[in-house]
Amino acid sequence: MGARFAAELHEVSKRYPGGVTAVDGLSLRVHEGEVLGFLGPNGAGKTTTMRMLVGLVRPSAGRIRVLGQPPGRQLARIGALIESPTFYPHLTGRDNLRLAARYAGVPDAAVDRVLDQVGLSARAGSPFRTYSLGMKQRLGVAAALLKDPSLLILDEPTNGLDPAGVAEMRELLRSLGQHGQTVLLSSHVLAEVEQVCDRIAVIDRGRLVAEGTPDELRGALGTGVLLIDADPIDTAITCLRADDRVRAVDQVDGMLRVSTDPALAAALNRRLVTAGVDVRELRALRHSLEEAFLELTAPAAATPEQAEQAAVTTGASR
Amino acid sequence: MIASVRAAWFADRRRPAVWTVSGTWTLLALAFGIGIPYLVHLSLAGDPEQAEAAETLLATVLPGQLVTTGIGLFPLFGGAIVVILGALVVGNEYRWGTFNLIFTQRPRREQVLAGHAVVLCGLTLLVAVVTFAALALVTAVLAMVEGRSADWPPITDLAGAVAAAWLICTAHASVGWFLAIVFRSTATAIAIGLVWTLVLENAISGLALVLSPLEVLQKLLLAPSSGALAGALGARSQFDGGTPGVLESSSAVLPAAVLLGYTVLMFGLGSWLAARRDVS
Repeated sequence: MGARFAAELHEVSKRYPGGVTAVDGLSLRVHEGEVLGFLGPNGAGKTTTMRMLVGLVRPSAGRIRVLGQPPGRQLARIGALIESPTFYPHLTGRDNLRLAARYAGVPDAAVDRVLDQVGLSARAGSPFRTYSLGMKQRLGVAAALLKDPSLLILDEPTNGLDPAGVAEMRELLRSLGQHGQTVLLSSHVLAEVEQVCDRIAVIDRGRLVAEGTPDELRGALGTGVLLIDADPIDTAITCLRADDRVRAVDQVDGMLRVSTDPALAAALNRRLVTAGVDVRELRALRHSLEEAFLELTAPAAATPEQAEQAAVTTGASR
Repeated sequence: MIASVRAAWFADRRRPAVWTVSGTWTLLALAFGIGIPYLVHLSLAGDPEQAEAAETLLATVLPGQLVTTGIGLFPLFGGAIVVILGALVVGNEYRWGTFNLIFTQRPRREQVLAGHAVVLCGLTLLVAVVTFAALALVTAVLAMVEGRSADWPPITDLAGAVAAAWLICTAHASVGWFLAIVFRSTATAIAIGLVWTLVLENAISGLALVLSPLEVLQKLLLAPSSGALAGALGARSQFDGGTPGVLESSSAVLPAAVLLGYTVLMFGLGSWLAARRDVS
Protein backbone atom coordinates (compact mmCIF):
# COMPACT_ATOMS: atom_id res chain seq x y z
CA MET A 1 0.00 0.00 0.00
CA GLY A 2 1.49 3.31 -1.02
CA ALA A 3 1.53 6.63 0.77
CA ARG A 4 -0.94 8.17 -1.71
CA PHE A 5 -3.69 7.20 0.62
CA ALA A 6 -4.06 8.78 4.01
CA ALA A 7 -6.13 5.78 5.03
CA GLU A 8 -6.83 2.49 3.36
CA LEU A 9 -9.18 -0.27 4.45
CA HIS A 10 -9.18 -3.61 2.68
CA GLU A 11 -11.99 -6.12 3.32
CA VAL A 12 -12.29 -4.92 6.90
CA SER A 13 -14.87 -6.47 9.18
CA LYS A 14 -15.73 -5.92 12.79
CA ARG A 15 -17.85 -8.45 14.62
CA TYR A 16 -18.68 -7.87 18.27
CA PRO A 17 -19.24 -10.65 20.76
CA GLY A 18 -22.88 -11.65 20.54
CA GLY A 19 -22.85 -11.80 16.78
CA VAL A 20 -23.36 -8.14 15.88
CA THR A 21 -21.49 -7.30 12.69
CA ALA A 22 -20.83 -3.56 12.64
CA VAL A 23 -18.56 -3.52 9.60
CA ASP A 24 -18.74 -6.18 6.93
CA GLY A 25 -15.93 -6.48 4.39
CA LEU A 26 -15.46 -2.74 3.95
CA SER A 27 -12.88 -1.52 1.45
CA LEU A 28 -12.26 2.21 1.29
CA ARG A 29 -9.47 4.59 0.41
CA VAL A 30 -9.06 8.10 1.69
CA HIS A 31 -6.81 10.02 -0.70
CA GLU A 32 -4.20 12.36 0.72
CA GLY A 33 -5.38 15.98 0.77
CA GLU A 34 -9.04 15.27 0.12
CA VAL A 35 -12.08 15.94 2.25
CA LEU A 36 -14.04 12.69 2.16
CA GLY A 37 -17.61 12.67 3.34
CA PHE A 38 -18.55 9.47 5.10
CA LEU A 39 -22.28 8.89 4.97
CA GLY A 40 -24.58 6.18 6.14
CA PRO A 41 -27.72 5.70 8.20
CA ASN A 42 -27.55 5.20 11.95
CA GLY A 43 -25.86 1.89 12.73
CA ALA A 44 -24.26 1.66 9.28
CA GLY A 45 -20.79 1.22 10.79
CA LYS A 46 -19.34 4.72 10.33
CA THR A 47 -18.28 5.25 13.92
CA THR A 48 -16.88 1.74 14.26
CA THR A 49 -14.86 2.31 11.09
CA MET A 50 -13.50 5.57 12.45
CA ARG A 51 -12.69 3.94 15.78
CA MET A 52 -10.76 1.24 13.94
CA LEU A 53 -8.78 3.89 12.04
CA VAL A 54 -7.45 5.37 15.28
CA GLY A 55 -6.92 2.00 16.94
CA LEU A 56 -9.61 2.28 19.60
CA VAL A 57 -11.24 -0.84 18.17
CA ARG A 58 -9.44 -3.67 16.44
CA PRO A 59 -10.85 -5.21 13.26
CA SER A 60 -11.97 -8.82 13.32
CA ALA A 61 -10.72 -9.27 9.77
CA GLY A 62 -9.11 -7.30 6.98
CA ARG A 63 -6.25 -4.88 6.73
CA ILE A 64 -6.04 -1.22 7.67
CA ARG A 65 -3.29 1.27 6.95
CA VAL A 66 -3.37 4.81 8.25
CA LEU A 67 -0.67 7.16 6.93
CA GLY A 68 1.12 4.05 5.74
CA GLN A 69 1.13 2.30 9.11
CA PRO A 70 -1.18 0.00 11.05
CA PRO A 71 -3.74 1.89 13.17
CA GLY A 72 -2.34 3.46 16.34
CA ARG A 73 1.20 3.90 15.01
CA GLN A 74 0.80 7.39 13.58
CA LEU A 75 -1.35 8.97 16.26
CA ALA A 76 0.96 12.01 16.43
CA ARG A 77 -0.25 12.93 12.92
CA ILE A 78 -3.93 12.14 13.41
CA GLY A 79 -6.61 14.27 15.05
CA ALA A 80 -9.92 12.67 15.86
CA LEU A 81 -13.32 13.50 17.23
CA ILE A 82 -15.27 10.28 17.35
CA GLU A 83 -18.80 10.01 18.67
CA SER A 84 -19.49 12.50 21.44
CA PRO A 85 -16.62 14.61 22.81
CA THR A 86 -15.19 13.02 25.94
CA PHE A 87 -13.40 15.22 28.46
CA TYR A 88 -12.85 15.50 32.20
CA PRO A 89 -16.01 17.17 33.55
CA HIS A 90 -14.26 18.95 36.42
CA LEU A 91 -11.54 20.48 34.26
CA THR A 92 -12.00 23.65 32.25
CA GLY A 93 -12.01 23.50 28.48
CA ARG A 94 -8.52 24.99 28.42
CA ASP A 95 -7.19 22.52 31.01
CA ASN A 96 -8.71 19.61 29.10
CA LEU A 97 -6.84 20.75 26.01
CA ARG A 98 -3.64 21.30 28.02
CA LEU A 99 -3.98 17.73 29.25
CA ALA A 100 -4.44 16.42 25.71
CA ALA A 101 -1.48 18.56 24.62
CA ARG A 102 0.71 16.97 27.28
CA TYR A 103 -0.20 13.49 26.12
CA ALA A 104 0.37 14.54 22.52
CA GLY A 105 3.68 16.23 23.25
CA VAL A 106 2.35 19.52 21.87
CA PRO A 107 3.37 22.86 23.43
CA ASP A 108 0.72 24.65 25.48
CA ALA A 109 0.77 27.51 22.97
CA ALA A 110 -1.21 25.31 20.58
CA VAL A 111 -4.11 25.30 23.03
CA ASP A 112 -4.93 28.97 22.55
CA ARG A 113 -4.54 28.63 18.78
CA VAL A 114 -7.14 25.86 18.50
CA LEU A 115 -9.49 27.52 21.01
CA ASP A 116 -9.44 30.56 18.77
CA GLN A 117 -9.96 28.41 15.66
CA VAL A 118 -13.17 26.91 17.02
CA GLY A 119 -14.40 30.13 18.64
CA LEU A 120 -14.28 28.90 22.22
CA SER A 121 -11.70 31.25 23.75
CA ALA A 122 -14.28 33.21 25.74
CA ARG A 123 -15.55 30.14 27.60
CA ALA A 124 -12.27 28.24 27.80
CA GLY A 125 -12.00 28.92 31.52
CA SER A 126 -15.33 27.28 32.39
CA PRO A 127 -15.56 23.66 33.55
CA PHE A 128 -16.44 21.22 30.79
CA ARG A 129 -19.51 20.02 32.68
CA THR A 130 -21.08 23.47 32.25
CA TYR A 131 -20.75 23.42 28.47
CA SER A 132 -23.68 23.19 26.09
CA LEU A 133 -23.69 20.41 23.50
CA GLY A 134 -22.43 22.81 20.85
CA MET A 135 -19.58 24.02 23.05
CA LYS A 136 -18.60 20.44 23.86
CA GLN A 137 -18.54 19.76 20.14
CA ARG A 138 -16.32 22.77 19.51
CA LEU A 139 -13.93 21.60 22.23
CA GLY A 140 -13.85 18.15 20.66
CA VAL A 141 -12.90 19.66 17.31
CA ALA A 142 -10.29 21.83 19.04
CA ALA A 143 -8.72 18.74 20.59
CA ALA A 144 -8.66 17.08 17.18
CA LEU A 145 -6.86 20.09 15.70
CA LEU A 146 -4.32 20.32 18.51
CA LYS A 147 -1.63 18.29 16.77
CA ASP A 148 -2.05 20.16 13.46
CA PRO A 149 -2.76 16.70 12.05
CA SER A 150 -2.15 15.37 8.58
CA LEU A 151 -5.35 13.34 8.87
CA LEU A 152 -8.41 14.67 10.64
CA ILE A 153 -11.21 12.25 11.49
CA LEU A 154 -14.42 13.98 12.50
CA ASP A 155 -17.58 12.14 13.45
CA GLU A 156 -20.62 14.43 13.33
CA PRO A 157 -18.65 17.59 14.16
CA THR A 158 -21.67 19.87 13.71
CA ASN A 159 -23.87 17.88 16.06
CA GLY A 160 -25.54 20.33 18.45
CA LEU A 161 -24.15 23.45 16.79
CA ASP A 162 -26.45 26.38 16.04
CA PRO A 163 -26.74 27.56 12.40
CA ALA A 164 -23.94 30.09 12.87
CA GLY A 165 -21.78 27.36 14.41
CA VAL A 166 -22.52 25.04 11.49
CA ALA A 167 -21.47 27.76 9.05
CA GLU A 168 -18.26 28.41 11.03
CA MET A 169 -17.48 24.70 11.08
CA ARG A 170 -18.07 24.48 7.35
CA GLU A 171 -15.63 27.34 6.77
CA LEU A 172 -13.10 25.70 9.06
CA LEU A 173 -13.36 22.39 7.20
CA ARG A 174 -13.06 24.17 3.86
CA SER A 175 -9.94 25.98 4.98
CA LEU A 176 -8.41 22.75 6.26
CA GLY A 177 -9.10 21.12 2.92
CA GLN A 178 -7.58 24.07 1.10
CA HIS A 179 -4.44 23.75 3.21
CA GLY A 180 -4.00 20.18 2.07
CA GLN A 181 -5.10 18.42 5.24
CA THR A 182 -6.92 15.16 4.71
CA VAL A 183 -10.31 15.10 6.37
CA LEU A 184 -12.63 12.15 6.87
CA LEU A 185 -15.96 13.67 7.79
CA SER A 186 -19.04 11.85 8.93
CA SER A 187 -22.22 13.87 9.03
CA HIS A 188 -25.95 13.60 8.67
CA VAL A 189 -26.18 17.14 7.34
CA LEU A 190 -26.01 16.31 3.65
CA ALA A 191 -25.98 19.94 2.52
CA GLU A 192 -22.84 20.43 4.62
CA VAL A 193 -21.20 17.35 3.15
CA GLU A 194 -22.13 18.44 -0.35
CA GLN A 195 -20.57 21.87 0.14
CA VAL A 196 -17.40 20.77 1.87
CA CYS A 197 -16.41 17.35 0.57
CA ASP A 198 -14.38 16.50 -2.51
CA ARG A 199 -15.71 12.94 -2.50
CA ILE A 200 -18.34 10.97 -0.65
CA ALA A 201 -18.44 7.36 0.48
CA VAL A 202 -21.76 5.86 1.49
CA ILE A 203 -21.93 2.78 3.68
CA ASP A 204 -24.90 0.77 4.79
CA ARG A 205 -24.95 -2.25 7.09
CA GLY A 206 -21.18 -2.12 7.27
CA ARG A 207 -20.61 -2.26 3.53
CA LEU A 208 -19.64 0.37 1.00
CA VAL A 209 -22.58 1.01 -1.29
CA ALA A 210 -21.36 4.05 -3.23
CA GLU A 211 -18.30 6.23 -3.62
CA GLY A 212 -17.59 9.25 -5.78
CA THR A 213 -17.82 13.00 -6.08
CA PRO A 214 -21.11 14.60 -5.06
CA ASP A 215 -21.90 15.11 -8.76
CA GLU A 216 -21.13 11.49 -9.56
CA LEU A 217 -23.35 10.30 -6.74
CA ARG A 218 -26.23 12.51 -7.75
CA GLY A 219 -25.89 11.65 -11.42
CA ALA A 220 -24.99 8.00 -11.34
CA LEU A 221 -28.25 6.96 -9.87
CA GLY A 222 -30.43 8.11 -12.75
CA THR A 223 -33.97 9.12 -11.99
CA GLY A 224 -35.25 7.77 -15.33
CA VAL A 225 -36.86 11.12 -16.03
CA LEU A 226 -36.12 13.70 -18.74
CA LEU A 227 -37.31 17.28 -18.39
CA ILE A 228 -38.24 18.89 -21.71
CA ASP A 229 -39.32 22.46 -22.49
CA ALA A 230 -40.99 22.19 -25.88
CA ASP A 231 -43.28 24.23 -28.12
CA PRO A 232 -45.98 23.47 -29.13
CA ILE A 233 -46.40 21.38 -26.06
CA ASP A 234 -49.46 19.40 -27.25
CA THR A 235 -47.64 18.21 -30.36
CA ALA A 236 -44.67 17.25 -28.20
CA ILE A 237 -46.88 15.20 -25.87
CA THR A 238 -48.53 13.37 -28.76
CA CYS A 239 -45.17 12.70 -30.38
CA LEU A 240 -43.59 11.36 -27.19
CA ARG A 241 -46.55 9.19 -26.19
CA ALA A 242 -46.35 7.55 -29.60
CA ASP A 243 -42.84 6.31 -28.79
CA ASP A 244 -42.77 2.77 -27.31
CA ARG A 245 -39.64 3.59 -25.29
CA VAL A 246 -41.43 6.30 -23.32
CA ARG A 247 -43.26 5.02 -20.25
CA ALA A 248 -45.14 8.19 -19.29
CA VAL A 249 -45.39 11.87 -20.15
CA ASP A 250 -46.65 14.44 -17.63
CA GLN A 251 -46.92 18.19 -17.81
CA VAL A 252 -45.61 19.98 -14.74
CA ASP A 253 -45.16 23.76 -14.52
CA GLY A 254 -45.04 24.11 -18.31
CA MET A 255 -42.34 21.41 -18.61
CA LEU A 256 -42.73 17.84 -19.73
CA ARG A 257 -41.57 15.09 -17.35
CA VAL A 258 -40.81 12.14 -19.55
CA SER A 259 -40.26 8.78 -17.92
CA THR A 260 -37.74 6.93 -20.03
CA ASP A 261 -34.11 5.91 -20.24
CA PRO A 262 -32.11 9.18 -20.05
CA ALA A 263 -29.72 7.71 -22.64
CA LEU A 264 -32.52 8.23 -25.19
CA ALA A 265 -32.35 12.02 -24.79
CA ALA A 266 -30.70 12.64 -28.17
CA ALA A 267 -33.04 10.26 -30.01
CA LEU A 268 -36.13 11.84 -28.50
CA ASN A 269 -34.79 15.30 -29.32
CA ARG A 270 -34.41 14.32 -32.99
CA ARG A 271 -37.92 12.85 -33.05
CA LEU A 272 -39.42 16.06 -31.62
CA VAL A 273 -37.52 18.30 -34.03
CA THR A 274 -38.56 16.11 -36.95
CA ALA A 275 -42.17 16.51 -35.79
CA GLY A 276 -41.78 20.28 -35.95
CA VAL A 277 -41.42 20.86 -32.23
CA ASP A 278 -39.00 23.49 -30.93
CA VAL A 279 -36.97 22.00 -28.06
CA ARG A 280 -35.84 24.85 -25.84
CA GLU A 281 -34.42 22.69 -23.08
CA LEU A 282 -33.85 18.98 -22.54
CA ARG A 283 -32.07 17.57 -19.52
CA ALA A 284 -32.07 14.56 -17.27
CA LEU A 285 -33.70 15.06 -13.90
CA ARG A 286 -30.98 14.52 -11.29
CA HIS A 287 -31.27 13.33 -7.75
CA SER A 288 -30.45 15.65 -4.92
CA LEU A 289 -27.73 14.20 -2.70
CA GLU A 290 -30.39 13.45 -0.14
CA GLU A 291 -32.44 11.51 -2.67
CA ALA A 292 -29.35 9.63 -3.78
CA PHE A 293 -28.48 8.84 -0.17
CA LEU A 294 -31.97 7.60 0.61
CA GLU A 295 -32.05 5.47 -2.51
CA LEU A 296 -28.62 3.97 -1.83
CA THR A 297 -29.46 3.13 1.76
CA ALA A 298 -33.09 2.16 1.32
CA PRO A 299 -33.90 -1.24 2.88
CA ALA A 300 -34.91 -2.65 -0.49
CA ALA A 301 -31.52 -1.78 -1.92
CA ALA A 302 -29.65 -3.33 0.90
CA THR A 303 -29.57 -6.96 -0.09
CA PRO A 304 -26.01 -7.99 -0.92
CA GLU A 305 -26.78 -8.28 -4.63
CA GLN A 306 -28.41 -4.87 -4.81
CA ALA A 307 -25.76 -3.23 -2.72
CA GLU A 308 -23.16 -4.75 -5.03
CA GLN A 309 -25.07 -3.43 -8.02
CA ALA A 310 -25.20 0.07 -6.56
CA ALA A 311 -21.51 -0.07 -5.73
CA VAL A 312 -20.65 -1.07 -9.29
CA THR A 313 -22.98 1.58 -10.70
CA THR A 314 -21.35 4.35 -8.71
CA GLY A 315 -17.79 3.12 -8.90
CA ALA A 316 -17.56 1.95 -5.31
CA SER A 317 -15.70 -1.15 -6.37
CA ARG A 318 -12.74 0.81 -7.66
CA MET B 1 6.68 8.01 29.40
CA ILE B 2 7.54 11.23 31.22
CA ALA B 3 4.84 13.02 29.22
CA SER B 4 2.31 10.35 30.27
CA VAL B 5 3.25 10.72 33.94
CA ARG B 6 3.00 14.52 33.74
CA ALA B 7 -0.36 14.32 32.00
CA ALA B 8 -1.76 11.75 34.45
CA TRP B 9 -0.62 13.89 37.37
CA PHE B 10 -2.16 16.96 35.73
CA ALA B 11 -5.53 15.14 35.59
CA ASP B 12 -5.39 13.30 38.91
CA ARG B 13 -4.33 16.20 41.06
CA ARG B 14 -7.41 18.11 39.92
CA ARG B 15 -9.84 15.31 40.74
CA PRO B 16 -11.83 16.23 43.84
CA ALA B 17 -12.55 12.53 44.50
CA VAL B 18 -8.83 11.76 44.88
CA TRP B 19 -8.41 14.35 47.65
CA THR B 20 -11.77 13.50 49.23
CA VAL B 21 -10.76 9.85 49.61
CA SER B 22 -7.25 10.70 50.79
CA GLY B 23 -8.53 13.30 53.25
CA THR B 24 -11.22 10.95 54.53
CA TRP B 25 -8.61 8.30 55.18
CA THR B 26 -6.39 10.73 57.10
CA LEU B 27 -9.32 11.74 59.30
CA LEU B 28 -10.30 8.10 59.85
CA ALA B 29 -6.70 7.25 60.76
CA LEU B 30 -6.66 10.04 63.34
CA ALA B 31 -10.06 8.97 64.67
CA PHE B 32 -9.29 5.24 64.92
CA GLY B 33 -5.60 5.57 65.77
CA ILE B 34 -5.71 8.47 68.23
CA GLY B 35 -9.20 9.82 68.88
CA ILE B 36 -11.01 6.68 70.05
CA PRO B 37 -8.14 5.28 72.19
CA TYR B 38 -7.64 8.71 73.80
CA LEU B 39 -11.35 9.12 74.56
CA VAL B 40 -11.43 5.65 76.09
CA HIS B 41 -8.32 6.58 78.10
CA LEU B 42 -10.05 9.70 79.38
CA SER B 43 -13.11 7.69 80.42
CA LEU B 44 -10.94 5.16 82.28
CA ALA B 45 -8.49 7.63 83.79
CA GLY B 46 -10.70 8.49 86.76
CA ASP B 47 -11.11 4.86 87.80
CA PRO B 48 -8.19 3.59 89.95
CA GLU B 49 -9.01 -0.01 89.00
CA GLN B 50 -8.56 0.85 85.32
CA ALA B 51 -5.41 2.91 85.77
CA GLU B 52 -3.17 0.37 84.07
CA ALA B 53 -5.46 0.03 81.04
CA ALA B 54 -5.78 3.81 80.86
CA GLU B 55 -1.99 4.20 80.90
CA THR B 56 -1.59 1.56 78.19
CA LEU B 57 -4.09 3.35 76.01
CA LEU B 58 -2.40 6.69 76.56
CA ALA B 59 0.94 5.20 75.54
CA THR B 60 -0.51 4.18 72.16
CA VAL B 61 -1.37 7.78 71.32
CA LEU B 62 1.97 9.28 72.30
CA PRO B 63 4.99 9.70 69.96
CA GLY B 64 6.82 6.68 71.40
CA GLN B 65 4.36 4.26 69.75
CA LEU B 66 3.92 6.22 66.52
CA VAL B 67 5.30 3.38 64.40
CA THR B 68 3.17 0.57 65.82
CA THR B 69 0.03 2.68 66.14
CA GLY B 70 0.42 4.07 62.64
CA ILE B 71 1.25 0.90 60.71
CA GLY B 72 -1.48 -1.02 62.53
CA LEU B 73 -4.11 1.17 60.91
CA PHE B 74 -3.25 0.28 57.33
CA PRO B 75 -3.96 -3.46 56.87
CA LEU B 76 -7.72 -3.32 57.27
CA PHE B 77 -8.91 0.29 57.23
CA GLY B 78 -6.28 1.90 55.04
CA GLY B 79 -6.24 -0.96 52.57
CA ALA B 80 -9.96 -0.77 51.96
CA ILE B 81 -9.86 2.99 51.42
CA VAL B 82 -7.05 2.86 48.90
CA VAL B 83 -8.84 0.14 46.93
CA ILE B 84 -11.37 2.91 46.30
CA LEU B 85 -8.58 5.34 45.36
CA GLY B 86 -7.13 2.89 42.82
CA ALA B 87 -10.54 2.24 41.29
CA LEU B 88 -11.30 5.97 41.04
CA VAL B 89 -8.11 6.89 39.26
CA VAL B 90 -8.63 4.61 36.28
CA GLY B 91 -12.33 3.72 36.53
CA ASN B 92 -13.43 7.28 35.87
CA GLU B 93 -11.55 7.21 32.57
CA TYR B 94 -14.04 4.58 31.46
CA ARG B 95 -16.97 6.35 33.10
CA TRP B 96 -16.24 9.66 31.37
CA GLY B 97 -15.00 8.02 28.17
CA THR B 98 -11.75 9.97 28.46
CA PHE B 99 -9.69 6.99 27.31
CA ASN B 100 -11.12 7.80 23.87
CA LEU B 101 -9.37 11.17 24.12
CA ILE B 102 -6.14 9.93 25.68
CA PHE B 103 -5.68 6.83 23.55
CA THR B 104 -5.94 8.89 20.36
CA GLN B 105 -3.10 11.19 21.39
CA ARG B 106 0.54 10.36 20.88
CA PRO B 107 1.66 7.76 23.46
CA ARG B 108 1.00 4.05 23.27
CA ARG B 109 -1.64 2.68 25.59
CA GLU B 110 0.96 0.91 27.72
CA GLN B 111 2.69 4.24 28.30
CA VAL B 112 -0.57 5.93 29.26
CA LEU B 113 -1.36 3.20 31.77
CA ALA B 114 2.20 3.22 33.12
CA GLY B 115 1.82 6.97 33.67
CA HIS B 116 -1.40 6.36 35.60
CA ALA B 117 0.26 3.62 37.66
CA VAL B 118 3.23 5.83 38.54
CA VAL B 119 0.93 8.63 39.64
CA LEU B 120 -1.15 6.20 41.71
CA CYS B 121 2.04 5.01 43.42
CA GLY B 122 2.87 8.64 44.12
CA LEU B 123 -0.57 9.20 45.61
CA THR B 124 -0.26 6.16 47.88
CA LEU B 125 3.16 7.41 49.03
CA LEU B 126 1.54 10.75 49.78
CA VAL B 127 -1.23 9.00 51.72
CA ALA B 128 1.32 7.08 53.80
CA VAL B 129 3.49 10.13 54.49
CA VAL B 130 0.56 12.44 55.29
CA THR B 131 -0.99 9.83 57.57
CA PHE B 132 2.19 9.44 59.61
CA ALA B 133 2.78 13.21 59.60
CA ALA B 134 -0.74 13.85 60.91
CA LEU B 135 -0.37 11.13 63.54
CA ALA B 136 3.02 12.56 64.58
CA LEU B 137 1.57 16.04 64.91
CA VAL B 138 -1.39 14.92 67.02
CA THR B 139 0.68 12.62 69.23
CA ALA B 140 3.11 15.48 69.86
CA VAL B 141 0.22 17.75 70.86
CA LEU B 142 -1.17 15.05 73.18
CA ALA B 143 2.26 14.58 74.76
CA MET B 144 2.31 18.29 75.55
CA VAL B 145 -1.28 18.25 76.83
CA GLU B 146 -0.61 15.24 79.02
CA GLY B 147 2.76 16.61 80.19
CA ARG B 148 4.63 13.55 78.90
CA SER B 149 7.97 13.51 77.18
CA ALA B 150 7.95 12.98 73.42
CA ASP B 151 10.08 9.87 72.99
CA TRP B 152 10.17 9.72 69.22
CA PRO B 153 10.97 6.37 67.60
CA PRO B 154 14.24 6.05 65.65
CA ILE B 155 14.00 7.65 62.23
CA THR B 156 14.89 4.33 60.57
CA ASP B 157 11.91 2.65 62.25
CA LEU B 158 9.67 5.49 61.17
CA ALA B 159 10.98 5.33 57.58
CA GLY B 160 10.43 1.56 57.59
CA ALA B 161 6.86 2.02 58.77
CA VAL B 162 6.15 4.63 56.09
CA ALA B 163 7.64 2.32 53.45
CA ALA B 164 5.55 -0.59 54.72
CA ALA B 165 2.41 1.57 54.73
CA TRP B 166 3.23 2.67 51.20
CA LEU B 167 3.59 -0.95 50.09
CA ILE B 168 0.30 -1.95 51.74
CA CYS B 169 -1.49 1.01 50.15
CA THR B 170 0.04 0.47 46.72
CA ALA B 171 -0.83 -3.23 46.66
CA HIS B 172 -4.45 -2.47 47.61
CA ALA B 173 -4.67 0.44 45.17
CA SER B 174 -3.35 -1.78 42.38
CA VAL B 175 -6.20 -4.22 43.05
CA GLY B 176 -8.77 -1.41 42.73
CA TRP B 177 -6.98 -0.21 39.59
CA PHE B 178 -7.03 -3.70 38.05
CA LEU B 179 -10.68 -4.30 38.88
CA ALA B 180 -11.67 -0.94 37.37
CA ILE B 181 -10.02 -1.99 34.11
CA VAL B 182 -11.58 -5.47 34.17
CA PHE B 183 -15.09 -4.11 34.75
CA ARG B 184 -14.56 -0.81 32.88
CA SER B 185 -16.30 0.79 35.84
CA THR B 186 -15.57 2.58 39.10
CA ALA B 187 -18.58 1.47 41.12
CA THR B 188 -18.32 -2.23 40.29
CA ALA B 189 -14.58 -2.21 40.97
CA ILE B 190 -15.10 -0.60 44.37
CA ALA B 191 -17.86 -3.03 45.29
CA ILE B 192 -15.90 -6.11 44.22
CA GLY B 193 -12.68 -4.75 45.74
CA LEU B 194 -14.26 -4.16 49.12
CA VAL B 195 -15.98 -7.54 49.14
CA TRP B 196 -12.66 -9.13 48.20
CA THR B 197 -10.52 -7.41 50.82
CA LEU B 198 -13.00 -7.05 53.67
CA VAL B 199 -15.20 -10.12 53.30
CA LEU B 200 -13.63 -12.87 51.21
CA GLU B 201 -10.09 -12.60 52.54
CA ASN B 202 -11.26 -12.27 56.14
CA ALA B 203 -13.49 -15.30 55.69
CA ILE B 204 -10.56 -17.35 54.41
CA SER B 205 -8.39 -16.07 57.28
CA GLY B 206 -11.09 -17.09 59.75
CA LEU B 207 -11.42 -20.53 58.22
CA ALA B 208 -7.62 -20.92 58.28
CA LEU B 209 -7.81 -20.87 62.09
CA VAL B 210 -9.68 -24.18 61.99
CA LEU B 211 -8.62 -25.58 58.62
CA SER B 212 -4.85 -25.68 58.63
CA PRO B 213 -4.47 -26.37 54.87
CA LEU B 214 -5.83 -22.86 54.28
CA GLU B 215 -2.89 -21.33 56.16
CA VAL B 216 -0.74 -21.55 53.02
CA LEU B 217 -3.43 -19.77 50.99
CA GLN B 218 -3.81 -17.18 53.74
CA LYS B 219 -0.15 -16.23 53.45
CA LEU B 220 -0.75 -15.35 49.80
CA LEU B 221 -3.74 -13.12 50.43
CA LEU B 222 -3.60 -9.35 50.34
CA ALA B 223 -5.14 -8.38 53.68
CA PRO B 224 -3.42 -11.08 55.78
CA SER B 225 -0.07 -10.20 54.18
CA SER B 226 -0.66 -6.57 55.04
CA GLY B 227 -1.55 -7.57 58.58
CA ALA B 228 1.54 -9.75 58.85
CA LEU B 229 3.77 -6.93 57.60
CA ALA B 230 2.33 -4.59 60.23
CA GLY B 231 2.76 -7.30 62.85
CA ALA B 232 6.38 -7.79 61.87
CA LEU B 233 6.96 -4.08 62.51
CA GLY B 234 5.63 -4.40 66.06
CA ALA B 235 1.93 -3.62 65.74
CA ARG B 236 -0.14 -5.68 68.17
CA SER B 237 -2.47 -8.22 66.58
CA GLN B 238 -6.19 -8.08 67.11
CA PHE B 239 -5.90 -11.22 69.25
CA ASP B 240 -3.53 -9.31 71.51
CA GLY B 241 -5.78 -6.30 71.99
CA GLY B 242 -4.38 -4.53 68.95
CA THR B 243 -5.91 -3.24 65.76
CA PRO B 244 -8.21 -5.48 63.67
CA GLY B 245 -6.41 -6.82 60.61
CA VAL B 246 -2.96 -7.00 62.22
CA LEU B 247 -1.47 -10.52 62.45
CA GLU B 248 1.48 -11.78 64.45
CA SER B 249 4.52 -12.27 62.27
CA SER B 250 8.20 -12.72 62.93
CA SER B 251 9.42 -11.67 59.50
CA ALA B 252 8.49 -8.92 57.08
CA VAL B 253 10.12 -10.61 54.09
CA LEU B 254 7.32 -12.94 52.95
CA PRO B 255 4.44 -10.48 53.45
CA ALA B 256 6.42 -7.72 51.75
CA ALA B 257 7.22 -10.04 48.84
CA VAL B 258 3.56 -11.02 48.50
CA LEU B 259 2.46 -7.38 48.52
CA LEU B 260 5.10 -6.49 45.97
CA GLY B 261 3.91 -9.43 43.87
CA TYR B 262 0.33 -8.14 43.99
CA THR B 263 1.49 -4.69 42.93
CA VAL B 264 3.48 -5.94 39.95
CA LEU B 265 0.83 -8.47 38.92
CA MET B 266 -2.16 -6.14 39.17
CA PHE B 267 -0.49 -3.22 37.38
CA GLY B 268 0.93 -5.57 34.76
CA LEU B 269 -2.29 -7.48 34.08
CA GLY B 270 -4.37 -4.30 34.10
CA SER B 271 -2.10 -2.58 31.60
CA TRP B 272 -1.98 -5.66 29.39
CA LEU B 273 -5.75 -5.94 29.38
CA ALA B 274 -6.44 -2.25 28.76
CA ALA B 275 -3.88 -2.12 25.98
CA ARG B 276 -5.34 -5.08 24.11
CA ARG B 277 -9.05 -4.64 24.57
CA ASP B 278 -11.31 -2.49 22.45
CA VAL B 279 -12.20 0.82 24.05
CA SER B 280 -15.97 0.84 24.09
